[in-house]
Amino acid sequence: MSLSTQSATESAVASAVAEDVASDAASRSRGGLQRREASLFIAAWMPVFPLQAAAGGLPQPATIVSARTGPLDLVVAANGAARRAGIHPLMSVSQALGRAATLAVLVRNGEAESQLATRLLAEADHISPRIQAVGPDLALMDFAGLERLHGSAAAAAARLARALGGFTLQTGIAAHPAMALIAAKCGLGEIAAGGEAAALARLPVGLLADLNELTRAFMDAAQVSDVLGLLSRWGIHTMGALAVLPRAQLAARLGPTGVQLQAIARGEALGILQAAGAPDSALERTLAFDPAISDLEVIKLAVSQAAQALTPELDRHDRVVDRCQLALGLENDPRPRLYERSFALPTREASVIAAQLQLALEHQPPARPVYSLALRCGVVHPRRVQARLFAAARPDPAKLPKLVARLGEMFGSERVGSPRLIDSHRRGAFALQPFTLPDELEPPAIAPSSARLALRAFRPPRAVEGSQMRLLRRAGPWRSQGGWWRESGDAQRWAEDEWDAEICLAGESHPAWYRLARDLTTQQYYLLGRYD
Amino acid sequence: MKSALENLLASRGFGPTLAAWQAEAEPDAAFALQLRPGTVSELVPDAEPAENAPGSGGVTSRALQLAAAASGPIAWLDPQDSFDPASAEGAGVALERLLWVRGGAPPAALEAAQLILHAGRFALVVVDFLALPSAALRIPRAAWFRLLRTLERERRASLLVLAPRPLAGSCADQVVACSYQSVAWRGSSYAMFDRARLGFRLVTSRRAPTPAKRPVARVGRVDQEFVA
Repeated sequence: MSLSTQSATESAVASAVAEDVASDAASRSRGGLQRREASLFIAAWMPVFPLQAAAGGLPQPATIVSARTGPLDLVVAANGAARRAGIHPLMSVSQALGRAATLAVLVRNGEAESQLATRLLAEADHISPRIQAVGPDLALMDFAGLERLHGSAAAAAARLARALGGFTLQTGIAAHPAMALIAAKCGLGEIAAGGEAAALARLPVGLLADLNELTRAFMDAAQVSDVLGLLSRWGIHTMGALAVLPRAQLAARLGPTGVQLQAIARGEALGILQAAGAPDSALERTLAFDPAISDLEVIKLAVSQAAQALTPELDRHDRVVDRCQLALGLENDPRPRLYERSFALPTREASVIAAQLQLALEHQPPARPVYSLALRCGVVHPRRVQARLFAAARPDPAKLPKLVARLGEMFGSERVGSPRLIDSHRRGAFALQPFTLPDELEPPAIAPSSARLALRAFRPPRAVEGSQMRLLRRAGPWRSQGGWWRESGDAQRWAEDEWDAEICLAGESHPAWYRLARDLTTQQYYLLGRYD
Repeated sequence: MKSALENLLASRGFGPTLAAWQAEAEPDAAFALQLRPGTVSELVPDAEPAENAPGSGGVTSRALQLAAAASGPIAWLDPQDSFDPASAEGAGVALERLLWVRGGAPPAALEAAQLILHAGRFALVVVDFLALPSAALRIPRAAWFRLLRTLERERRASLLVLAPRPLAGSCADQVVACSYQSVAWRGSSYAMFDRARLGFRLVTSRRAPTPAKRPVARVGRVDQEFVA
């Protein structure tokens, strides 16, 4: 197509679109609808993403990334030099090597891709609070109203590219999401508001299939594919050709999907940015090892790395971890080895999370080599309190969970905690709860001038016979029973008489005060404890 | 409802157990053991109890009283698993700020005390060796020095050791012996006695004598004053 013909086509598209847009605007203003003004979006796309992730950037020599699919190693991505040599995705690696003898072949690295996608999102999050991950390689940012903060959108896009130094990034700027995305993928840079139709006119209509993430709210991907196939058979290959088709006839033949695709081709505002929300309840990081690791120190290091990888996301969404689970995939064992920890004081410190799990690993090391590691952390909103000036001092929040875990390893987790009395008539009933401290410690109550006598409990109670003791004084009995509705032998069922007694036990020179009990079912006497 | 009923009965002298007992020990009494941050203190039963007084010396009752007055989290290391939460609550201890570690041998309890002191900002760490036999209480002197060094570095917590005899030697800031001095027997089926009096004897102290505190407390006796 000659230059003059191109210009004529673009002007024809522009005039046709202008007419429809004018009629639309008139009808909208009559209906009281106003187009949102000053909307601005930035899209950032990393081309050949698997290759950039695997190579740490875009290499100049011919390079491909391969992955095993069934029995074959297939090309997943190829850089420009490789494509110029005739290599394209889905080709087998042996075919690719046949076309370029000096071809560098990298293996696809899922973990590196995940990390790069997280980094892209994290950097995008520094630009705008409303972002959407359209794919692992593509981030969309709502830049409306942020000019005063970052300067122009172009300056913000350049800053993003600098932040991801070493990786190749294409950015697109436009007044609505779909345009920004197309501008990024096609390297159009910034599309001025109102110039969308002219900018898109020469682009292939097949690009519309790449907008699924944005348009799926109102268009079915299968229908889009069908319509694009039909347009191809009609000989309509560019956005400009689609844009000039009369809307009413297009609607009659292709239905609403055709009309919506045409609206995008005309540069009208379609596509919805679905801002990425904070994680609801959990974050997860996985690592795979080949070959499997059997050295405990290396596994602990990997746990630390996984915990550190979660920190940026926790920071970004302002969340803290209240529980975590480590699942280790073991060789020749279908069931993963699980380690679970909860945090009395939720934290986002990677060192605290890792220390808990490392302690658990030291206590119960995996019996077989580890080929995979999945760290899953439950997240909650952080609690914020302002400390009072005269509040009592409290342990370092970072040290307390580690201390409790360490004591749990030494004595057994069921033997470390904070006691709570149970509302029961059974004397001495209590439960042991995980030790947590309230946000603020009240100052201690004023000590009374007198005190109650303390009991030192015997666990289990000591059985005594009449011949083993000399009863000097007693008060009681007080009868208590409960759990009678339970089956005989149930530990929750009891019936006993209790006395406070001054008793001199056989072999002791001085008497002492005891709590004496008689089990009413067995008629056996017990010493429950000694007063001191 | 249950606790309200119990309190009402107790106020009228119908306490179901010895919980109705009222000790006349003044918490602020000069020789009734005052805990200083960064020090080791020991409470032991008096080897020579008064006539007709029970052999137990009231050590646990006094320790709970001190725990109730502590201004911060408390750790109770209990190798014999004899701590009674109901008694602690009765003494005024806030259970939600109490870390209770049950079981373990004495060396493990001291190691746990070391960890707790390292965590910082616990106001009081109680190590209860009271009912352990002497054979189990052969603790190397180095362990006490380690604890003392940690305490002096943190300068926040007090370490209180309950033991049948003094254990920490020169590491202890003070050693106080407790015993019951007199008991007013009631002789009813509701309670054995009305009041008991707890006495304290200062066995050893590293503190300088304070003239202002010379007037002996209303309770207790001082058999040995300010032994350096």
